[in-house]
Formats: sequence, C-alpha cells, structure tokens
Amino acid sequence: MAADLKDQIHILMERGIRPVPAAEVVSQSARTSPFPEGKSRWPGLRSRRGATFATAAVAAACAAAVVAAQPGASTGNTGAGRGRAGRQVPAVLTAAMLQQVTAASRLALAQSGRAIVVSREVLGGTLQQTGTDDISFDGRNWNDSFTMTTPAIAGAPASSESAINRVVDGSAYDYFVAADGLAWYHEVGPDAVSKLAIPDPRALLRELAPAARFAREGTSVIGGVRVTRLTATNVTGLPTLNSPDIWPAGAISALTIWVDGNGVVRQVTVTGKQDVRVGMLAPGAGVRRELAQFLAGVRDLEKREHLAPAQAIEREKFSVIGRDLRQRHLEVVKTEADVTTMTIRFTGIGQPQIIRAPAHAIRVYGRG
Amino acid sequence: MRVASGLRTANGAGPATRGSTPAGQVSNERPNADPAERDKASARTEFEAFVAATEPRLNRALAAAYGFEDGRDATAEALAYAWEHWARLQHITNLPGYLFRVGQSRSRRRRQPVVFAVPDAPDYAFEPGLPGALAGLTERQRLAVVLVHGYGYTLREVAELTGIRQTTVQNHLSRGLQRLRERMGVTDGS
Repeated sequence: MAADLKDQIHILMERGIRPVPAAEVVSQSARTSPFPEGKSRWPGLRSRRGATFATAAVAAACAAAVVAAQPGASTGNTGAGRGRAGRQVPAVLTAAMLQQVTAASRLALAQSGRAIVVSREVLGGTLQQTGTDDISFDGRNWNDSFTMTTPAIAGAPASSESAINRVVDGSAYDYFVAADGLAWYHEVGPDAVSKLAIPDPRALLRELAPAARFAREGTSVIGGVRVTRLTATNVTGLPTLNSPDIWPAGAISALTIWVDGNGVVRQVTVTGKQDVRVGMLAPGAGVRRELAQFLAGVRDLEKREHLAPAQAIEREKFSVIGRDLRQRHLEVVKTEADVTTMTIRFTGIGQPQIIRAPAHAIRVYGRG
Repeated sequence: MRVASGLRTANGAGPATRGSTPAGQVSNERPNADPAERDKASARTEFEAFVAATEPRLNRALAAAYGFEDGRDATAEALAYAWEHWARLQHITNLPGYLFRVGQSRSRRRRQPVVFAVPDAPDYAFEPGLPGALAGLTERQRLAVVLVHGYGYTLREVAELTGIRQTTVQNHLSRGLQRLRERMGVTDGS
C-alpha cells in the first residue's frame, strides 16, 4: 500500500477515472455539426443541412430504440416520435418489447457485471439515511462495498459507516471497523456466505412486467452511452415487485428504467412509499438522554437486522427504553410518509470483474 | 482560443497555410471541395485537440466533485455541450472553467451521494476506507484535496478551473485534509 496519503488519493482517482474521448463526445452528441443552424456563411445551405442532420439523428435514435425492443417491427407507430412542435411523444412499450428488454438484460448480466446502488430514505420530509453499495459479481464471486450515512437527527450526531462484504470461491470475507480497528475478517462459520446478505442488483429486473405499461420519456447519457428513459405508468401492475422480499420499503410509487441501444437496462430508479406511525415527544419533556439511547438502539437494530429506519423505530418502541419513553413521554402519535428511493446503475456489463480474496484476513468463526 | 489556434498552425491546416499555395507548386486540395465540409473537418480537428488538452483536468475535477461515474457523465455532457456550441464557445478565454460550470449544472439535478468505487483495486493499493472517507468530505473540500493534494495542481489552477477563490481553495484544502485524516484514523499528520 502506498504510504503517503497523496499517493493513495492519486492511485484511487487514476484507477477510477475513465477518460472521455472526443470521438465518443461527438458520436453521442445529439447534433452532428458544431455549427448552429442558420448562423453560417451559407445560411440557406447550412440550415438545410442542419435540418437533414437533425432528422437523421432523430430517425436513427427512434430506429435504435425500436430495433432494440422489437426486432423486425415497423417503426411507424411504435417508436418514440416527435410531434409537430418537436416535442417527444411518449409511446407505451408492448409486452414483446419489454420481454426483449428483460431477456437482453438478463443475458448481458448473467455472468458478470457491476452495479452502483444509491438509496435515500426520507421520513416526513426529513432525510433519515443515505446509502451506497458498489456491488460487483463474476460467477460465484461477489463484492459489496457499502457506506451508510445518517444525518444528525433529534440531537443524535451524524454518523457514517462503511464496510466491504466479499465472497471468493465460496469463502466469506468482510472488512469493517471492529473494536481493534479496521481489518479484513474471514468468516468461517455455518452459512457465513448467506449471512453476508449481499443483495443481487439483478433481482428487480426479473420482476419487470408489461402490465406496468412503460412509456418512453426521452433520452439521456449514462456511463457515456445514449439511453432511452422508460417510466412505468401503472406501478400497481407489478405485484411481485411489490412483495416485501423484493422491495421492502413500502408500495412502489415510481419506477423508471434506462435502456441502451442493445435493449440492456443500464439504470433503474425505484421509489417506494409507506405510511409510518411516528411517536412525537411532547415539548419540554426533558428526555434527551433517553431519546439518544432510543436512537442508538434504532441504529443498532438497523445495522444488525438490516432494517429500514422506520421499521427499526417501530421495533425499538417495544424495547425497555422504548416502552419507558412511550409510557412517560410519548404523547402524540402521527402518521408520516416514509419515502425510499433507490437507483441502481449497471456498469461493466458482461465484463470480467476481478474479485480476489484479501491478502491478509483474521479468521473468525460464527460471528456472521 | 490558444489550444485550437496552436494546433491549426502546427497541422498546417490554418487559413494562412491552406489558402496560400507557393508559386510553382500544385495545391493538394481539390478545387471543388465543399467549404462546409472543410469547416466541419477543421472544427472537429480543433475540438479533438481541445478535448485532448482539457478532458483530463475536467474529468478529474468533476470526478472529485461527483464521484467517478457521475463525474464522467458530467464531463461527457459538458464536452458534448462544447461540441454542440463550438463555434461560439471556442473564443471563451477560460473554456475549461466554463465547462466545469456546465458539468456542475448538468449534474446538480441528480443530488445523489458521491461514490468512489474502484472495481478491481488490489487491497494493497490504498486504504479500503479511503473512498468512503473521501466521499464524506464536502464537494469543495474534495475538489481541493484531490486536485491539489492528489494531483499536485497549484491553488491558482484549481481556482481558475472551479471558479473558487485561491484563499478559499486553501481553506477547503486544509479543512478537508484534516477531516480526511480524522476519518481514516491518521494521527501523525503525514
């Protein structure tokens, strides 16, 4: 390991940064000519050429989207078109198109890939927690590097925790702050691998269904790739996705996917919403110390049981501290909206991921 | 613009060299070449030279601000904006700084946590807690720490690129380094 912090930062940045070549910029740009239309030395010629380029670009984009979703289909009435005023007209994907998207994504991500998962939970308009997972997988090997950040709430200080869970050839490793400092541990207990509970980012993709009626909403660039944005217009049409096993953070209220020219899903954003009964302390109750203990218990539960903050609060209410608080001070109970948003971005699709066992790890048994 | 005009001279593609054929020599140009196509090719060459010179700085700065993936997307979008408005933008004095702001405004809508994830980093290359600790800094602290401390940029260079005053960059640098060391448990001040 590089000894100097500046060297470590340099190495980290150089490993992570991927250059953006000029050719990619030009090819991904919506306009193929750098000259604004009608402002050249040959206005008539330029505007006609500009119009031709623009039309060609739109046609190519439509063709790519439709070919990706439905090979052999006519582009006439299914592709995203442009209205008379040049505005994007949403078009709903047919069952066959969506099937093509899910099949292409499943195939592309079958063996290896990487996903950056960013989640954010807001309760009653107050940010409760943000989290990021960088998950890479290659066959049976998995790596999940995650960080959970909790802002300062109700007198409790802000906190941030990072850890790495890794599975290499059936062996479980984790890296976190233990009492004796940051270290790699080799978990050898029963079900050590399953106890790491590394989430499979592909699980959501398996549950996409035509009943959600995905509509095209335009294009953007993700990871240097031009993608089409598809939004579910009927999220209640996804009953299996709404099950707690797949999505534990309430009923899904919004679902958007971004699909590249090959029909592979590059990004998914899901928003879930549930109503949570929240206990409010009466003003001037003077229970700051108990409240801090209560919140510490909530965080402990979140960490141990992998619960969402709202769920942990509900559970912790029945602890000794929670009961005491409720009996003495919890006077107002109200219902607040708990909104969780999660974005999964797939990168390195189908590319081999190097996931190695750590060079040194402390062997522990059954800690899970 | 300096980069583009320098390249124009170096390649011999500028108006002075291309337009004037020395006496007794035959021009290589086709006499009926389309002027529009020639302008387009020339602009593309200039733009490619500009990207080669500017992209690393811009990408590093935006990656420091928003993480590797979002930073790259912001760089791509800023450069795409530059390409689409090249005729107008190429005369701006501090175009990298301008494009940094474009990248910022295009990324601002995302409002997501910063991620510094490296896919295939061997364990001994850097402290595994470094990405998380870096992500825990404020955007300006990260910019200062990464660009000045990690890449050896001068305060002035960072100030020109990001539009932050030099003294402010210095403040963010010292506070960012202090916070980074605290989060990583480094106590010897190295």
